[in-house]
Amino acid sequence: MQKEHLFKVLVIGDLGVGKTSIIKRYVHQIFSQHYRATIGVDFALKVLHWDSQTVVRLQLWDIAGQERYGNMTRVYYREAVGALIVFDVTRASTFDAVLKWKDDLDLKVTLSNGKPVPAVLLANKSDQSREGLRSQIPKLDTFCKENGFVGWFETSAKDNTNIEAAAKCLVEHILAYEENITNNTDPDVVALPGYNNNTKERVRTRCVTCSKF
Amino acid sequence: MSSSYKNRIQEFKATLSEQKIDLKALRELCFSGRLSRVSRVCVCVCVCADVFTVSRVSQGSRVKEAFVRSAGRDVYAQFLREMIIQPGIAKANLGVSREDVTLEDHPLNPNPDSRWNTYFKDNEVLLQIDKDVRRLYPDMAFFQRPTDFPCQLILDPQNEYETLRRRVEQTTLKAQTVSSPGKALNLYPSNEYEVLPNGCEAHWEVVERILFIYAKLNPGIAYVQGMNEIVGPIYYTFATDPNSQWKEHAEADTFFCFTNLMSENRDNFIKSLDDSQCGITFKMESVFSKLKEKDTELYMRLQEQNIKPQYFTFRWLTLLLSQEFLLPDVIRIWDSLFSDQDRFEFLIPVIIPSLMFTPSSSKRKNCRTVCSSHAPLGSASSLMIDSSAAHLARVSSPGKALNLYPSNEYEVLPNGCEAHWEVVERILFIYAKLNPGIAYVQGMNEIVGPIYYTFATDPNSQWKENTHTHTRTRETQVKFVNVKRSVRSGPAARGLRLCVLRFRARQSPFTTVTTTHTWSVARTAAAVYTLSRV
Repeated sequence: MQKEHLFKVLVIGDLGVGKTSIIKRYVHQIFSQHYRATIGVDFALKVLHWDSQTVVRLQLWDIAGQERYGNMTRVYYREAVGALIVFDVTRASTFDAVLKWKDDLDLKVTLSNGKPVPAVLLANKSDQSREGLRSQIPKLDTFCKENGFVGWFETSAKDNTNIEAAAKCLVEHILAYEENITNNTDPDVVALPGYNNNTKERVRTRCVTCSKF
Repeated sequence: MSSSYKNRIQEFKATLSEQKIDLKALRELCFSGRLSRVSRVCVCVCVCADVFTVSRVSQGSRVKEAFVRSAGRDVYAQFLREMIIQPGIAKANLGVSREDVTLEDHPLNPNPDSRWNTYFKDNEVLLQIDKDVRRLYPDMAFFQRPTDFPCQLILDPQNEYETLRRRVEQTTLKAQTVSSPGKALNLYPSNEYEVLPNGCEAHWEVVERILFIYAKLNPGIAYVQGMNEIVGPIYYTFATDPNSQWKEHAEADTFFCFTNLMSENRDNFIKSLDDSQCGITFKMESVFSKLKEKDTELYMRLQEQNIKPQYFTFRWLTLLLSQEFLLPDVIRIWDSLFSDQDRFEFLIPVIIPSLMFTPSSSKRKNCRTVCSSHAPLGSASSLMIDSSAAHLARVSSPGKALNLYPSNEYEVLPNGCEAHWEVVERILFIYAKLNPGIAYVQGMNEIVGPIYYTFATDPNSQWKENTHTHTRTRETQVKFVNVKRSVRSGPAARGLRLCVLRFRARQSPFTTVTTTHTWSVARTAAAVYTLSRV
């Protein structure tokens, strides 16, 4: 029997890092330099025929990046099961903001077992960086591990690099969690919503070198 | 042009030319929105009449005079000097005198009063503004085009003052524009597309300046995304006025209109007010409570599906619907919005019927003239069933619900005129007749579109003209065949697929509305493929 999943996935990150471009590329296979600034939130739907038994409907929430919209995010994040956090490789400040977004996310939404929602880090606009991120690979790997990202990808909405891959990675993690839930529902364990092991345990020290690149 | 339409224009002109303008009558005229072709005057008058010059009007002077009076314009010029030119000069001067860095101000000075410090702080705001104004109304070329009246104060050939664009480019963009060789086709060498010759400036740069000055004068709000979408239509209204006097002062006039509009509206943009009585959350809630009153069934449905007002009404309310419609429609709606007695309260009655998909006469009562007919939104019910909020985006365009234009005014051109889409229609018809094996397949229109656009907008009027004649039509059509053959592979395929032209808009300046970006892609792709084959 075919199973259908509907997943709410957030796309967040600073202003102008290319969130809308990534979504438009992923959903409509188009690219333009000129998308209007997103005000509040926008939506897109991507249907994935995952395998012969599974259809995944990804509801992508394109969330405005400017600080002013911070109050709205609590409402927008509700019931999300995954997130893509985007930064712009040509602007160090947008990378510095990644942790701010991750904290905001973990604070406002958790999975039903209290764990943080899986998040994938996207280093966008890779077509514009001169030497790419090759020299940064180990640092970003560590960064992701320390800060609870399930993975990271160097992406370009313009050249269509790695966007499918990043989404696939996220969906894999979401599906794994879903199966986990259905397989081992332990009636004796009560999950406290809002309680998040990970935030507390997370190592907050960041290495100086990888905060700027 | 129908006689009743002429009458309305006469009425409007008469109202404006009276010694003492009857604001109420003017409002009513604007509200009914039957003045689409003179509406550029309407918006201005509406914005200013109420917020801007109402006191002067009541003293018996005339709106127009009060408005054209240059007092405000001088003040604006003063702002430009203080906030854009002076810091630029100061920076240049400071940069030269490097010897006494310890005594004078210098770039690393941590003192909050340091002029350098302010300069760098301003740049952060400016960078945000810059990102947004460059992508203002991407579906039309207007904002990318040079203005006829660049700001002489700043572009003064004798003094090389720093323009805001250059200021931003110097601070950050330089590192960003480097593209790695080999990757992706560089279809437009960036300077051809983006940089206008010296002494020119694009309309978006004017808007950038307006927003920057506003941010400097209102540090509590500074710049919030979305302000650009509010300045846009106002500036457009002034800058395309047939009267060149208005055009010339578009920048200063827009600035004051915008400032006055914001004085009523700014609470929407202030984060700390979000949850207060005057904040946006309250307004969003009131949309829902109004909806509850008017259509309980729909309200319950939305509640059931957990669809929050924040998901869609936020943008509608803060931007006054300016992102939901094409620009001419926005201007039309704003006419009513600004001329309504309750001002922005009227926004909610506009929104509600667009949400309701079961029309009934009792519900219509409150929707006023603008929303005289609201067609059922078919997709709204599918949203309810599907519960997929992704559909909201499509459902949420209230335009479907409003009958904005009495159809004959907007759609039919006067005798002897034909719209560009009619030409395209002919081309496709001839092609179908000549190729009965293929006839017409949906999508061909999207391919003819860019090609036709390229010819029809050629600066050389000979080309332009020929596009309209039958011979050129045939030629275009022949090229179309070639393009179609070659389009199956290569970058042009990608380029052409990008082109979704709108030939919907008619005689207005929007006749050839399209993204500059799309347009250039189309031009490059079409040129490469037609020229190499024909």
